Amino acid sequence: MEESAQAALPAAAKIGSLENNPATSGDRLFKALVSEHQDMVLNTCYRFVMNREDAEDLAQEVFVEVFRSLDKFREESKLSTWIYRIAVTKSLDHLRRMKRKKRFSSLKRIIGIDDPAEELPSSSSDNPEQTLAEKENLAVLQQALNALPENQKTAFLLSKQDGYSNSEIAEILQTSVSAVESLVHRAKKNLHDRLHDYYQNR
Amino acid sequence: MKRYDKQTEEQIEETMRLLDSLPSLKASPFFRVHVMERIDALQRKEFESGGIRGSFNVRLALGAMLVAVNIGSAALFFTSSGHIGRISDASGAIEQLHDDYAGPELAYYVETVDQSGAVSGREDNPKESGQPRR
Repeated sequence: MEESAQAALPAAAKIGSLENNPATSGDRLFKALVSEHQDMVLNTCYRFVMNREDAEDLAQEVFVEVFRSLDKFREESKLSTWIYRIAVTKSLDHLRRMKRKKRFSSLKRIIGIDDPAEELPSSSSDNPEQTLAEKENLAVLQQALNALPENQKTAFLLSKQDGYSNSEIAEILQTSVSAVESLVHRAKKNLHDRLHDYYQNR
Repeated sequence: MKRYDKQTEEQIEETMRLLDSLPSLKASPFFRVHVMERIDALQRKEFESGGIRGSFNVRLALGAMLVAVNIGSAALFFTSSGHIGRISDASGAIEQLHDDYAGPELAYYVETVDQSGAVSGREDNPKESGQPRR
């Protein structure tokens, strides 16, 4: 396990706080890397999947992937940007998988088999009525978000998360800042239109 | 109608606000431990499957297959061209044989022309019988 992390040591060691301790072994370096970015990665995944368990599972997958590909990391971008890009890719993959699963489960519902996997994120509220309304709104929002093109969805969701500047989002999406601004604007408009359609026709 | 639109807009805003109100999560204290466990499990799995498959590599397998196909087609080409060579060798040998045995020395059927110009044949070969030809 140490070999892979050691191989990426020269690249990773230059970044952030890790640079201060060149004597750390690859294993310790990787542990430090996880500690430094785990919350950001977890919250990034959470924005996409809106479910804590799934987000935690995805965040772990992200770090496994980081560990495996650390030696392939080229210093074309910041290490953190590279990690967040992996988080976004994994989250989008998860959403795609869920979409396929949903299609399959709706088919199962037609033939009379219920799918317990279709669960919405639980609300923190104690009021059952409010919880129900929140759940419904969240489901509607999730549906509207999932209908957006992936680049719009990514730009919009990252812009909603603290800690991402437009330039960092642009680096993650490998595009320009003005393109990110345009994507966020279009995403907001599309979301508004979709929600408007939904609430008007309800 | 206006009231209806206002209500819809309020609902949209309320729904959009849900994104802002999503809690900021903190990773569990065992998060890193779980990650390391996953990595260990993955490495164990890779090691075990590596033992079974050796250093199997798809690219390597494809390369080997290409080399085998190339060698096979080359062998096929040379085999068939050898056959053609053999055919040409055989026709040469037949020609050689024809030249060797078509000469008058070995002819057992000698054509002679008499004084009237009529062609007649004799079956004896003067060279073979050791008698000079008249």
